[in-house]
Amino acid sequence: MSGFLTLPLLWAQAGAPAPPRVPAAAAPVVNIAPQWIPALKWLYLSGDPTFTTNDLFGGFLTWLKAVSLLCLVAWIVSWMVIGIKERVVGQGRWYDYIGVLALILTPVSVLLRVLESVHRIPVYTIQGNRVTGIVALLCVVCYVVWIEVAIGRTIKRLGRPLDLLVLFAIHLALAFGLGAGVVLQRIGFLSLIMPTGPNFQLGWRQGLIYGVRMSATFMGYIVFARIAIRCLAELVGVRGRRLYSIAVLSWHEANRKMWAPWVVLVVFLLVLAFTHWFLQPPRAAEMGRLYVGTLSLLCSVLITVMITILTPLSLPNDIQQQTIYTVVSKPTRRLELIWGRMLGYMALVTVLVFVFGGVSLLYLWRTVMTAIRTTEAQAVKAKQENRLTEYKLLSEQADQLRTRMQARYPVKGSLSFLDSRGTPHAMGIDVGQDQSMREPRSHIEGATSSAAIWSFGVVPDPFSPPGRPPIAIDRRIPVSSFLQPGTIDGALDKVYALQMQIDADKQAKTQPNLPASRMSQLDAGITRNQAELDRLRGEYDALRKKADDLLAQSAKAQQEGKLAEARDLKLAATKLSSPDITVEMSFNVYRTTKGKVGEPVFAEIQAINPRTGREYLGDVFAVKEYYTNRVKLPAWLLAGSNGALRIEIRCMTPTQYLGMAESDLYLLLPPGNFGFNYMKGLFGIWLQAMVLTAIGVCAGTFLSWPVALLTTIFFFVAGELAFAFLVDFSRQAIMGGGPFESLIRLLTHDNQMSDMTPTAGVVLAKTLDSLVMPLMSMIVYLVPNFQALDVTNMVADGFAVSWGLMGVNTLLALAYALPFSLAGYLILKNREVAA
Amino acid sequence: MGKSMGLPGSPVPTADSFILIVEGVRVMSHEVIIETRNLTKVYRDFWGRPKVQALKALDLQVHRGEIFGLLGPNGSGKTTSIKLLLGLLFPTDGEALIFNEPTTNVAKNERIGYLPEESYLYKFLNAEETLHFYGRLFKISKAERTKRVGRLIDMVGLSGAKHRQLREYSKGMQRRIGLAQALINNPELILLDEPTSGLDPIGTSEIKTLIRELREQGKTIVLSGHLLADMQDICDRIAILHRGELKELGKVTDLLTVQDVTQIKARNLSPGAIDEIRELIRRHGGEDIAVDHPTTTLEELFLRIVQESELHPGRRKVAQDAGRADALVAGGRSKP
Repeated sequence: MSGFLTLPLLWAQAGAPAPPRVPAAAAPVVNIAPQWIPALKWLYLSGDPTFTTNDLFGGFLTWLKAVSLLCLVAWIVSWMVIGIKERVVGQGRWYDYIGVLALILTPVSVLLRVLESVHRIPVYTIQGNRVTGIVALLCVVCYVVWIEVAIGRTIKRLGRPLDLLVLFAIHLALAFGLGAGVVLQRIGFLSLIMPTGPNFQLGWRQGLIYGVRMSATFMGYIVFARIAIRCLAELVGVRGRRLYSIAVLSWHEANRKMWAPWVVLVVFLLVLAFTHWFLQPPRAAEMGRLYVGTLSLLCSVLITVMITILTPLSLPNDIQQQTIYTVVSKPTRRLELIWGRMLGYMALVTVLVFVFGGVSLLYLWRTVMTAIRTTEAQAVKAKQENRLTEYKLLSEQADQLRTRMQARYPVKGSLSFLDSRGTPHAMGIDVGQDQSMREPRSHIEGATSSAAIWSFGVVPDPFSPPGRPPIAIDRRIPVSSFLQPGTIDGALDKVYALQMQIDADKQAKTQPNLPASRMSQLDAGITRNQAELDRLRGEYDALRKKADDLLAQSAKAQQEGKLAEARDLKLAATKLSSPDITVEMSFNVYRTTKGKVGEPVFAEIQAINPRTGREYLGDVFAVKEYYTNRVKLPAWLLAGSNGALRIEIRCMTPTQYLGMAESDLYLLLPPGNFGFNYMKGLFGIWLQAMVLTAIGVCAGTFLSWPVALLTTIFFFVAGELAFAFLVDFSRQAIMGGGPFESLIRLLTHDNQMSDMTPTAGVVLAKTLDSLVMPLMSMIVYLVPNFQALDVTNMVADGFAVSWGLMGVNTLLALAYALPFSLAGYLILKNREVAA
Repeated sequence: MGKSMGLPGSPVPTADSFILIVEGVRVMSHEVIIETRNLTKVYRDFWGRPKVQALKALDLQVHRGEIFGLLGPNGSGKTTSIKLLLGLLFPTDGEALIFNEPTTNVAKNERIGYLPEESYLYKFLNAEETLHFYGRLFKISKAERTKRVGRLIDMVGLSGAKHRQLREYSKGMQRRIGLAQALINNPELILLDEPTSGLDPIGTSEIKTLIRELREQGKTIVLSGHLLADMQDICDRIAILHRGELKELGKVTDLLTVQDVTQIKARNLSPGAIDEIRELIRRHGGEDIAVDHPTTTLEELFLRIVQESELHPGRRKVAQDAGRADALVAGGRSKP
């Protein structure tokens, strides 16, 4: 869901007002009947822009709120523009003067606030209220009056009855939202759901602000509904034959007019032909990753560049060359024009993805797989020639190469830490490294009680807010995938499961006032399960005995020198157990100066089944940096675990630190097919192309082709390379201030941390930043998160792309592509194609 | 262009779309197909300031089965009117109805065919692909579409070039395929914006013949143009626009008849008989009597020469004197 949660929130930069700190003694009395709480939660959940749930529904709701708010903004702006163009607004009427006043007051209020914050002016108050606050409020009131009157008059003069209805409904939503905010504050509900808990009281002002936030969402819903109805009405008229026809046209246009697929295909083959010249892996084991990553990148670059150029050119050319006349004068709907083009281009991308994928796989098969086979042959030769160091090195290289050329399914747990005194923490020691990575890394100190613990099962989230019940997260191990039926461990797991069921039933029987029917039901269950348990125990004992016998025979054969027979018997005994569980780890070492250079750092692994209490203590192993450490756990450890397991890692080398993130340790399920996984990785590129196509086509509906091209490029670059920065930007979490302040710091060589002397230039820069940054930060709400769609790194690392991830990414891509395509439709619908 | 005209799809006149032919005189239905009320279009600049008033309060009605001409010099608002009717432009004021529906209604386009001023077609498609592309936009079965495509290509005389991309076509060929696309849906209403633009006289003549045939099938045709002779030949009614204003509207015959002039035509009159007629006219108070031999139109002369050339290939002897020229065109339509 992380992808969804990165969806933009319009109000993010405003942020919820922080609750004032008041003593616990002044805590409000919350008088809400319990039956009302769920309804009130729903009201708040649907209204507040930033409040959501951490599931699929929460993702959808966040998307809906963001789109609705954007719809509201677009609706207001479009009516204002119509009002100005049709001479309803901006004609020197009384409300225009209010608008001018608002425009003047905006920089003035920001300037005053900046001067106040840098202590250039004292904080003036009028009856306890800050003057800057009053000026800002006056400014807001002026804007509201201006927009209200301007839109009202414009709609009255130029709008249709439905527009009047929307205007009326928007006012109802405004009143409802404001009322809801105030009521929620009065009854203490807002205090109840604050992250800080109910011990902090919110005043009526906070209630009003929450009311404004909620009313903005509700007003957005109204506009969204209006647009959705319009789009649905259009959707009813959409016909497959017309979509197909326009898709075929786009296909031919790309092929015959622009020659786009042929150009990218030739470039792809050319680059591929010389890849081995410039691709030199830093370590032999990195070859697979490097080749897979490079080929994926090449596919991604070529396809996205092609789409970036192709899509914004198409519609503007159609309009400019007036070929669109003959199409829109037919019963073609505007939505069909947009979607038809998208379909055509996506058909092209689909073909290219398959061609690129097929050629890439052939190439990888010829290069990397050949390298693996050669390395393995060299290793065997080295062993035969008793060059053991070289054999070990070559074996490891081949193993690492094979690891990358797989589709590994990791089962990940939840990471928490124990410090050197054995106290649990969500994070370990921060050594000041790697905190900017996707997953922050923590360290454990060597030769102390500190440990990194990976918990599997339904476990509490270590980052649950304190003072509240912990949030449970589901990290259960799919036991049936590890413990095969018909094996000793599989039978043992069933025995444990039945025994636990019987124990639970027996426990249930001890409950007082149990109805007789329930009692007899439990008795029957216990009897039935007991019989089954006895049978399974017998089965388990028989398997166990058979294995012991085989091992004994194997030992005997070994003693008698019948090595082949001994090996076969041992193999037969091994087959009676489930295969060992592979645990992979990739830790980094933070070396202090107290250590000896060149000496390995050692670690220890301990696995505990929390339900059965059975433990496994692995051998101490030397941590391989930059490589994957692999440890085998016995399968019996999982028997009776019901998906729960606890793995503890300790650093054994004194004065050294072992660093890890949650994804650094996982259990491995049987691997999938690499080729198929590679194609799944390319599906991420396909999704990127889909979003980009929607943007390109949308931009082409109202911009000339050069501007549309630049717009599409901007969106791709911003979403692919700078999305994380934009998110920080929108949260105003960038160190060193906004663009103007940063420019001053750059020129004066001032560092990012220190406060600047509030000179006139600095005040001006801060004022401009305060005006510009909220506007610029809105870009993040429009820029798609292209990075989230790209899963080629997973493929290059040898991890399987799960269907779940593909599903989420598909939804994420649609969450962007659909609004862009519908925006394109609305623009095209409302523009004169022959103007 | 083609053989004379096996137009695809034959119209079935409905109760309210009858075409009455009485002794060669066509009577149009009174059903209104197009109606504009106070239709006004002002082009504005980026800031919304009026730039050009392209159409000023146009009020007109077009009835089923007639050929209606929009006549006017360049920039008079003919094309703007057609674009407004098709919803390619939005009116600044007033409204336009086609089949009694607003122009923004997309469904009405199922019954409309449109040939734009230039052949705005996709040059990377060939003729067949072009017609299939446009045909798929209508509710036509694949079999029917394939049949129509073939017949239309034959009709516009592009059978030999149907697999060539349109970028290789001459302007005339592009106009022909443009016309074919306008007819792919067997429309009830056909809007032709300067249909003869870019065509040679033969093409022009064939287009005019086609338009007349379409009328015979009961279709309503609106065409714009500034070639007066063409419009005069084929239009039942015309509207003359100038600088966006409707200056004249009515039947061509009514508008062109000069009420105070009488014309007498006769063959093989002797000079004596002519003198007698002159005398008779003079006796009845006639003035400015002009008696001479009629001439044909240049178009007719050209068509006849081409026709002869096709029948008798080879170098043609050029007539040296007017009498020979007259002989060549004998039988042509005479003019006073």
